[in-house]
Amino acid sequence: MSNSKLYKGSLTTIILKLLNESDKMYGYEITQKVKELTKGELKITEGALYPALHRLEADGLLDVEVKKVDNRLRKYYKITENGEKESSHQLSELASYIATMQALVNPKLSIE
Amino acid sequence: MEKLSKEELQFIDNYLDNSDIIYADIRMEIIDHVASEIENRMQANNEATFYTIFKTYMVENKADLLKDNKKYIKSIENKNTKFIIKELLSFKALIVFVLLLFLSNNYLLNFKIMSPKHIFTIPFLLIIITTIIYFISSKIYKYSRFSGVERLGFLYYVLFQVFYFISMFIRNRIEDLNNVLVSALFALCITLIYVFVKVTITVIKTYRTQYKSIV
Repeated sequence: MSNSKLYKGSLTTIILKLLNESDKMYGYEITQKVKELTKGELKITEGALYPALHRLEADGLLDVEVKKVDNRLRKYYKITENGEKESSHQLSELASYIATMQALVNPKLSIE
Repeated sequence: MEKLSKEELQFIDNYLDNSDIIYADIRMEIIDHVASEIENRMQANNEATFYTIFKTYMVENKADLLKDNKKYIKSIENKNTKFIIKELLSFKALIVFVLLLFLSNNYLLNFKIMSPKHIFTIPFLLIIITTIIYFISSKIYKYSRFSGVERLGFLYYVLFQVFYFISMFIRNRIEDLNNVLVSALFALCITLIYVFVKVTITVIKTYRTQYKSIV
């Protein structure tokens, strides 16, 4: 993750969320999707993305499919059933974290 | 968008291989990432050649790629260890252990087929056979090296040390130990080998399914 340490803890949540919304994605596609969605604000580096993907794969939250594309092999990641559960769990945790931070840094904008 | 040629992809492959990214499964993913980025940059700048973009990219990102390589190997080792522990604690492993305990206690030792002193040659022999098979596959047939399979080697080494320790323990106390304890230790060794071989076969099968185009 390039531009902020604040994003670091949310990387797996971002990956799971993106994969939950699509059938399958490969590493480079994930970096480009994040760049596009955040209008270039957030750039995920290879050194952060792939270890996170491999950890999620090792934990059984992602499944892998390898296909030959443009003369090379491409590793696609798909979310598993456990990954979907973990994704919704992490997203609700993140939402609660954002709400707490909102209440702390900008009480006027907070919901409660 | 212009795609990289086979020669250009081979160039990236050789470069990464020479940079100590030795496992085919890790290299393949990095090649795709690097190639995708180079193709994007080539599209954005028609003047730039493959080699100049590649050089710039590696100056910016090589350290990150090598870091990823190390972390991947670590996560693979953790995955393998978890898999072995899960299999070792399974009901099937328990059945194998009980069956082996019965067989070794009633036949191998009681009928003097093997003496307690020599019974532990069997696990050592099985480990040596497995190692020879690995070396023939990788050095003579030059099969692609896959991280998940090869990192199991470290766990096999730990297993070898466990057998060595058990063997030493038995040898020094051979007169004091009863056959049931010797049989239990023997059954444990063979059950461990059963679990290791089962995990190895499963890991190889997974790779064969996932990477069938390059295996």
